[in-house]
Amino acid sequence: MITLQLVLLVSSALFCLGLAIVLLRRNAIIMLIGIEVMLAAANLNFIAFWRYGAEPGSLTGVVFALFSIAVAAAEAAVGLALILLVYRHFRTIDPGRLPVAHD
Amino acid sequence: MNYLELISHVLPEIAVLVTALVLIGMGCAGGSRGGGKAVLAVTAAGLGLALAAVVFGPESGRLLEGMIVVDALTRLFKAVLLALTLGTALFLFPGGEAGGNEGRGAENSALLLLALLGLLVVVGTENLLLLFVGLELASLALYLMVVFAAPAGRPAEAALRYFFFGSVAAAFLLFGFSFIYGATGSIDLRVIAKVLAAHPVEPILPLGVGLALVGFGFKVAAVPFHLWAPDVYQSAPAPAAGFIASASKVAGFFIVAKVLVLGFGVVEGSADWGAFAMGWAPLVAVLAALSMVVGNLAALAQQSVRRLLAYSGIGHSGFILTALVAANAEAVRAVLFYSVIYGVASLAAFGVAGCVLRARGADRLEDFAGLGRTAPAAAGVLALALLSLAGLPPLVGFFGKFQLFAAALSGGTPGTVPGLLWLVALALLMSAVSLYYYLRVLKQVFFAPAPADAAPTRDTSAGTAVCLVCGSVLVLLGLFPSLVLQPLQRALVQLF
Amino acid sequence: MNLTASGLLFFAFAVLTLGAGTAVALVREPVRAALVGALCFVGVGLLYLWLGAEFLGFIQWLVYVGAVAVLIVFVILLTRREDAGGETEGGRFAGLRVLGGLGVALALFGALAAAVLGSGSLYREVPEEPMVLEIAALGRELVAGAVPPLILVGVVLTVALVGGVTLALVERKPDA
Repeated sequence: MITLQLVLLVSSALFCLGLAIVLLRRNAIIMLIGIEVMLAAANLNFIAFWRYGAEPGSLTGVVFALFSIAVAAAEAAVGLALILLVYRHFRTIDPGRLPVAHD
Repeated sequence: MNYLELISHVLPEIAVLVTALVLIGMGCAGGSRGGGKAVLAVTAAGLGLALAAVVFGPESGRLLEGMIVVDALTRLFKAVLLALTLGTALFLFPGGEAGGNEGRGAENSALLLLALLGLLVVVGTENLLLLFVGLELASLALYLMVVFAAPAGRPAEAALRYFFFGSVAAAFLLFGFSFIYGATGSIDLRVIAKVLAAHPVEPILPLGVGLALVGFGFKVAAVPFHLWAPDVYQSAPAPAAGFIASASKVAGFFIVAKVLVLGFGVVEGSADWGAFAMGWAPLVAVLAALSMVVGNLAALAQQSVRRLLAYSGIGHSGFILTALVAANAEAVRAVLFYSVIYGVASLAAFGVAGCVLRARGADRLEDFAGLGRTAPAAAGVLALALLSLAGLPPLVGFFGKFQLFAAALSGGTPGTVPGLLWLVALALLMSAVSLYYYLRVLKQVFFAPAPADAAPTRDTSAGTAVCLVCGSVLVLLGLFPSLVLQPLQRALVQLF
Repeated sequence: MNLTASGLLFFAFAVLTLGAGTAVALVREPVRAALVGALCFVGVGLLYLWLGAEFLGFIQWLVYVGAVAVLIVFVILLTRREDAGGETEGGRFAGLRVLGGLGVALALFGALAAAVLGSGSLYREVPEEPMVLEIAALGRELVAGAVPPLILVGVVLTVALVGGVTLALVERKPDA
């Protein structure tokens, strides 16, 4: 009774939610969570397509999701390192308060 | 599957990876006093080995469902990327510019090589998984390179901005790939193309391609995904900016052209005037038009030369995407050819901008005053690079642009008005605009007197050599474009 | 439409995930936002389990809830300052920004939903036979078909490590 369409609608909503977090929040760390939510939505898609896929023997979707979880973790680490760096210099992690290069 | 066979097909990548690891080791061992000369020697040796592995390695092969693809085209572009990176590496070490991070040349160089490794993987694959991981590797290394030389202040802010734009773009790319996988059941571009040719296309496939296009648009800095570029180009150390503007962009265009034309030729649609059909072509046409207009008009207002180059780069993305809309063999050839010469010209321009920045501490237009007298070689190379970007004959930029626009006009039914005429007309107009701001720079360089108290601009021999090589490539290819065009043509024949 | 137990579970997990995600967008206090973010990742892991990818569900919990969320909370605590105040309201254009952000997200969701609902082949049920992700098969796939990305992911993690370490090293130098 749960169709693939329904799962994809959930993952699409999750992706847009992540995008909304990135666009609406002005705290670099929370924006980073938004990015991770977007990536998780993509992984949900991969797993859903694997589960509902025509060839049960193929592991492609799961392997893709596995690798993207690892890559997302590395991305989060680099992002947090950059956020700390910015904080130490500007004493804020609010993109709205950073002096933007305008000249 | 045979591991030995696999290794023999990825020798260039292995050479680059091992060199990067050696450099990281040198950085740990040397503490903060890594000898610049030794680092440069190791980097150059590694790149040389990789180049040799490309030239003398296997000529063709396709392993693991298209994860590793070796053919004439991938070899040609791996060689181009290696050469551009060698140029960037030679810029990295003139010393003095490193700011608060002197002596970390080993790690910086290692990051450069790891970014290159990502790009090499991206160029040499037809598999969406490896493509994604390769792009992420290149992106992460580049975020760090932007901030690395001077980790305080504006570079950190620029790197954070670059990171957020890049990560959102990566998420779009991944989400798009997931729909492509779902619609076709495969992540191998060749299989995808076959499936698409045999089955009816459902809406989720164009949706996936459109989402992926957002990710690619970020990589080539096309409007409206360009907002990171000006800050990064201006705040990053000149070599990192040069690498982002040259090697990274070349790989970006390579992969956009390959994915769209090879994998998704079926859902191209049409951007012809009066005959719009949904598909990726109209989306690319919109990106191209926006990039040309925004990039070139914004460049007019810039005072910082690196920022000007950033906007001009955005404009050039528009020119290149214009040809891609036509999506035939001729268009792919023009796109690839122009991306290479654009890469060479930007590397040279950023090199000279880096010299001026080192000597005068800023890169405003006024800081270039009198460069023609104090440093004639650098000024000459800058003139060649900018005039080539502007598309003046006899430089290669003219020939490249001519090819781009001719390819855009070649699509559609013969005998009628070409459907993409509107886009090419816009491109010609914007090309004329671009001439104005390039000449504004050159006017300062050759006709404005140098301020009396200005420090004379000097450069290291390695940097000058790279600039001169770039300059002579631009002239030589302008006179004999077939030097690159013919191998490219031969490589493309295998593909289509 | 008759709801089965499995269907109810799916809806419960989906509501948990999306609800926690919405809370991240709305909760002002950063630490609380991070905690509901972790809850959202828990929900995503539950959805993986529901789909039969147990191994990935556990990995999701280990990596996101165990590592990333904890790291995020640490960074929030490290960057907390009394005088930092809340997030900027963004002056004159705050309302415009919120409207624009919401508009983009909603428009994107509209496009996604239209495409998903318009693709007839997606209207299919879960295959009847229970599908279990065999870890042994996954392992074989990783050392056979997926060797290049496996090695490359190792390199990606190395870059993150080297980058983090060197940035930290640089920071320790006295300000010049």
